[in-house]
Amino acid sequence: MLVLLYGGSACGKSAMAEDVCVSFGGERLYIATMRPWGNDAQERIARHRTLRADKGFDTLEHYQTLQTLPLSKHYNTLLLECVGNLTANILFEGQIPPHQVIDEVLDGTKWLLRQVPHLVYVTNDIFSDGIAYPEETSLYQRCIAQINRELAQLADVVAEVVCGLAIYHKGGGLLP
Amino acid sequence: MKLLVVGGAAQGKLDYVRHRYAPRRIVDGGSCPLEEAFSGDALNHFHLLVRRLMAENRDPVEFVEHALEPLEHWMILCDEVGSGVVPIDVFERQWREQVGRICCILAQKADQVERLCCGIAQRLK
Repeated sequence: MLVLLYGGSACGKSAMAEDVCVSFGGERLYIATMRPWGNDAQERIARHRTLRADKGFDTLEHYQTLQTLPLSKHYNTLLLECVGNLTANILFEGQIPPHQVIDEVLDGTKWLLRQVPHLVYVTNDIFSDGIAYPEETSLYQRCIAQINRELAQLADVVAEVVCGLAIYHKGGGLLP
Repeated sequence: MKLLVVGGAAQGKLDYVRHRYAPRRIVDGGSCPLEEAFSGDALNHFHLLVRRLMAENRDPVEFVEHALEPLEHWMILCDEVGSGVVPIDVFERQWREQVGRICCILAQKADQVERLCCGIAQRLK
């Protein structure tokens, strides 16, 4: 099962994602995709670590293609935080065209779905501020938007998170 | 039917309208001659039309209300643009304000309002 949680910054999507993982029970792995560069990144990482400290996650830092993700145990649930960072890493650090970036994230997701029973993805709403960004940024936006749309098709549950509450766009009754 | 479709940029509004409502002619509000904005079955990028009208010092509310008055059917697709920090630039500020206000007016006039999120439509009205 794929659960896609979508929302703006600080909307509570991470906490909700963790709680969804806990509700699935069993072994769970947190996949951190943000490069730990700069003070504010360190602070965000520290905040997230505290947030999930008592929730029983293993943590794996993984910044690139999902198909090389080393899974050391039979996990029941993987939490990927987040699609935006993973996409940025693949798009900006590699020399591959955008459609391959999109394929890579989607193929990786399908592969992960064959490895574990539950996948919970956190992804970002960066589409409603009306700003016309420079091409590089706009390309990044379009990449994530397409990945989000395709993940949403693939997903069993799609929820937009607002103030820590879920607005279900798909599969509202499916979570435990 | 009068239909308003909103959502963030690149959420799949145009694809959705194409498949769900099969409009024969879709006009692009970002590039069409202003007077032809409502000459098709559907108007895409309404937020850009508003911007272009404002750049020519025309009142977008008046323009849109006048254009829609004789029409029994319309489909309008518009990006939601109001969720960023309020811009310092006056034009940018007024543009977002206008887009938001006109969408409220359109939503009132519409029979149906839908919002796209990650390619999934949610019926608001």
